[in-house]
Amino acid sequence: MIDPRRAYEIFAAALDRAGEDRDAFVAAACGDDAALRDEVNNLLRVALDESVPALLLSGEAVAEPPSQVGQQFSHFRLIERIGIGGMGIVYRAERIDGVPQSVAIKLLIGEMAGPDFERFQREAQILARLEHPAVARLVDTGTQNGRTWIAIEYVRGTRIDAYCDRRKVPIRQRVQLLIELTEAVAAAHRMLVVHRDIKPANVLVTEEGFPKLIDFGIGAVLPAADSAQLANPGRLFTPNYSSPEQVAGGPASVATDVFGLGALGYRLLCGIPPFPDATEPLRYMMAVAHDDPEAPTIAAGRAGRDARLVRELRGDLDAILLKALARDPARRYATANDLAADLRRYLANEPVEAREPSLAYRVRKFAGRNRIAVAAALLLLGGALVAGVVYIRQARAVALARDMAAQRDHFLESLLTSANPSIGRRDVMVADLLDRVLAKSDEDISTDPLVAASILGVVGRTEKGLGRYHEAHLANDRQLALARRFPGDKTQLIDALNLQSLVLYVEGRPADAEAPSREILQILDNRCDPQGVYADTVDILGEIEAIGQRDGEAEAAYQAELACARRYQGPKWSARTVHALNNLMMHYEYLGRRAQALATGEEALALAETAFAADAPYRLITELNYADTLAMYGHAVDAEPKIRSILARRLSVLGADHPETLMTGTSLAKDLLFQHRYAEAARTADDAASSLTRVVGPDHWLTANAWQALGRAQCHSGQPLEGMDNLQRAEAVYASRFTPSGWQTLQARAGIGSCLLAQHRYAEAAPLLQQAASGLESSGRNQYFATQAAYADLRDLYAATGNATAAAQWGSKVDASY
Amino acid sequence: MDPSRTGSPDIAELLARWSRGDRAAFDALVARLYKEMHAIAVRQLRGERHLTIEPTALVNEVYLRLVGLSHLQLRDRAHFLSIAARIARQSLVDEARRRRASKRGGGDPVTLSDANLGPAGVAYDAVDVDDLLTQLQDFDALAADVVTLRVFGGLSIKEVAEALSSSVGIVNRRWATGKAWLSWELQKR
Repeated sequence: MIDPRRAYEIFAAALDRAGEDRDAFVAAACGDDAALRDEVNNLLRVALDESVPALLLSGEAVAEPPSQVGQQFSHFRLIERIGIGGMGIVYRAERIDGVPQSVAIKLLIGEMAGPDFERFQREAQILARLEHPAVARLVDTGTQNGRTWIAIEYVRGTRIDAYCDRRKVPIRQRVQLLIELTEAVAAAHRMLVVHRDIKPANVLVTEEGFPKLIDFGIGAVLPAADSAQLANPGRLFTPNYSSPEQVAGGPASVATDVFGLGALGYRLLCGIPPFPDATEPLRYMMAVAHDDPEAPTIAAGRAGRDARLVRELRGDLDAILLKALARDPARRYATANDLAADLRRYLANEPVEAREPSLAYRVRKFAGRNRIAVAAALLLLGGALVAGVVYIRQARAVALARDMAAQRDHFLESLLTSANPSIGRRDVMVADLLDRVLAKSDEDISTDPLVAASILGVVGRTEKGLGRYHEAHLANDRQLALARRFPGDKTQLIDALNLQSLVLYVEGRPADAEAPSREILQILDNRCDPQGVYADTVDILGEIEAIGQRDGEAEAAYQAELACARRYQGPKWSARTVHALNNLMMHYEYLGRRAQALATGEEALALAETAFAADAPYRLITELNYADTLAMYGHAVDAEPKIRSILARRLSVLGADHPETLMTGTSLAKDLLFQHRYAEAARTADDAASSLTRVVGPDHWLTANAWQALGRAQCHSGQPLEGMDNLQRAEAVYASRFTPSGWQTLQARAGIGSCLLAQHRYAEAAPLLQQAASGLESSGRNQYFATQAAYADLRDLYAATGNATAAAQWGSKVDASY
Repeated sequence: MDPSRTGSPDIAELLARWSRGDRAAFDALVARLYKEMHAIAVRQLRGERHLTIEPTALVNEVYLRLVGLSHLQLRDRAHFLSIAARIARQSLVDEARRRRASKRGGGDPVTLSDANLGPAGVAYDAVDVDDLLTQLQDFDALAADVVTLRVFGGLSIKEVAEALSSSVGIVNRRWATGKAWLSWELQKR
């Protein structure tokens, strides 16, 4: 009797081969089993021989869509096709601008236009900021010939289910893979991004054994992916991992990803997905909505997994997976980190939370509608004690660092989960929670001083985020004191010092922020580290020094940041390099060092163009800074189209009311001012000013910038009184936001003087212009365009009042190129 | 449209609700789909002397009826047809098995005739086809899916590729092997 499976398999493999190869293959595969060979040959005859009636089967072969290999999309060239998914065709592509980078490019099926495309771009911006070693990063997006494409970091790897099955990966390693993925998902949740489509097809494992999630949040950015997505058969292709709430058409949430991770874990640990009998989308939808999955132990047993494995699953893993897969989202783990923590507890042979429903129940009862925030407090405090125990038992710094990081992450994630507006009274609750931590002694927070320091650091940073600087200092001082008791643990000390300088800086005490920053540099021995602590620190120092008008030191700090950033590769460092170049360009610009400012700006721009997508925030900021500089230094006509193009991109990506869009409006107004197109400048600045007043408030320096441009334009277009008003408002904001003698304030004052001059009110104009000119000059900004403008105004003023000597004196300071 | 003609006045509404994401409507629609198909199958079988039925015609009829009723294009034809194909296979084979059982194995078998499966005029026992597909499922699940969608749903290669999230190339190959195997096995019977 012939084994039909064998015959089929040999036949199928033979059909893929050509002529003589095929005969040889069949002969070798069948050996001397003549019956088998006959059967295979019969099948081949039916499949190939046109004289056999069965061949009349009208199975028309359809040409595959024409390959796009070799085509170029932005700065990528398609190298080979690697798959077809529900979204479209996927190619591997390489960058062609010298930067070595492989990406997977998805050419989406169908066109995307109008609001759909704008939304897609906005969402993609958020996704592009998501960086985690276990997440394939979104690199770029665009449209070409009416087709939208997405470039994602290319991952060379195997699907996680195939990887585990083929290599017979042991259970504990599978749990470890799941933990890594769960942590990646938690990191994304902290950025408020939900994956919403976690399944084996979306997880690859690299040669080195690292898991990578692909298509993070991509489903959300596609226009068809509305709430109807899963109930609509159009996108039902692999629903075997979707959650009950998605199947019911509900929105995806943190709980959805917890379910997806549970389903993925189920598949990895049992060898079959939850609801394995529901192979059709429809049956799956019904099953997941109405039934609980079988306990993994039973499922694994039924799937014929070996007894040892089944024994391992029994108890804790059963409980963990079923808790993650609970039909009611509220009964699942509250956060992805909670799931990761329970999986880690399983690996550490500690009791898992999933098996203590009564505790969870008590927490819920007690916490009422703010349960998550309170649960975070309980877990934070309880967890800290556990962390201490683990530390003593293992007595290993590495384990401690990991555990502290876990505590911190859990805390942050819980805070973000509780930041759901529907929960309400968020700040009060979080502040209350933090107060309770602060009310405890260090020993009560954790018996281990470094764990306590780490938690106080989190509390301090959160307080800073809430704007409670006093409390932030309380927590930070304690953190610092604890950290200083362990000079060996530099990480904690640096963290504490960094927090101290940040809090001092944001609360407007930049001079005091300098000491902690300097101490960090000392600890680092002034060395540029790959973690970026050095670059961060010199960046803050540069700002502090620039505010203090210590221009030489600020320049040195920015140069040091630049040199450090150039030593390393990768997107993070490209961004850092562009940032440092930006800092330097602005610095040179204020100092009036035009040639250097323009050259540095061009360098920043060139790098930003290769490193970032056309609509990436860093690139737009760089382009705008450069255009502003151009406008300021006599190239206003060239700068105008550049500014308008940035404005258009920001409008489409960020919307009309975004501060960055409005800021670009101010830039355009300034550019028009330089072109003496005052009426247009006034209209543009007025629009920006009124929107900014609404969006960021009347006390913000961004609003003051718009008022200043508006005031200047009005002074030159027949509305001098309104113009004076607006300039004075700007001056007042600068004086309170920066310093009364700062260059921003002086620049506004020069504007008022200039306005008075235009009205021939010479006696009032003279002292203001002189104050501004000498103030700006004394800070070394004599070449700055505002200083030059003040010189020219003073020259004209004295010429008009008949003081030829003074006119000549001021005139001599005006640069020939101005 | 005259609702009495279909005996299911609310199908249009179910379709509309389904397209808005209502899962309950989807369940109801699938149940209705099964009923519709089964009813058409039974009606046709009753009238036919040879008890031969062309499953894709059945699916197409239901498809056209639904589209006509709802005055809208179903958003994804391929996927709708793939669900319909599976339901068609189920309802036809259920009916064939019911007949077989009621006649204690001595009755006329329900046979399938389909241009996608064999030369015109040749008919196959629905139960045989179902058994073989179940067997094929065991050693090449994708090929069995492809054949089911082609034979019972009349989907084109391209539609099968869309419905199964596969590529045209892969579907072409699986169709070649699955179809040849099924034809050969049916010839042997």
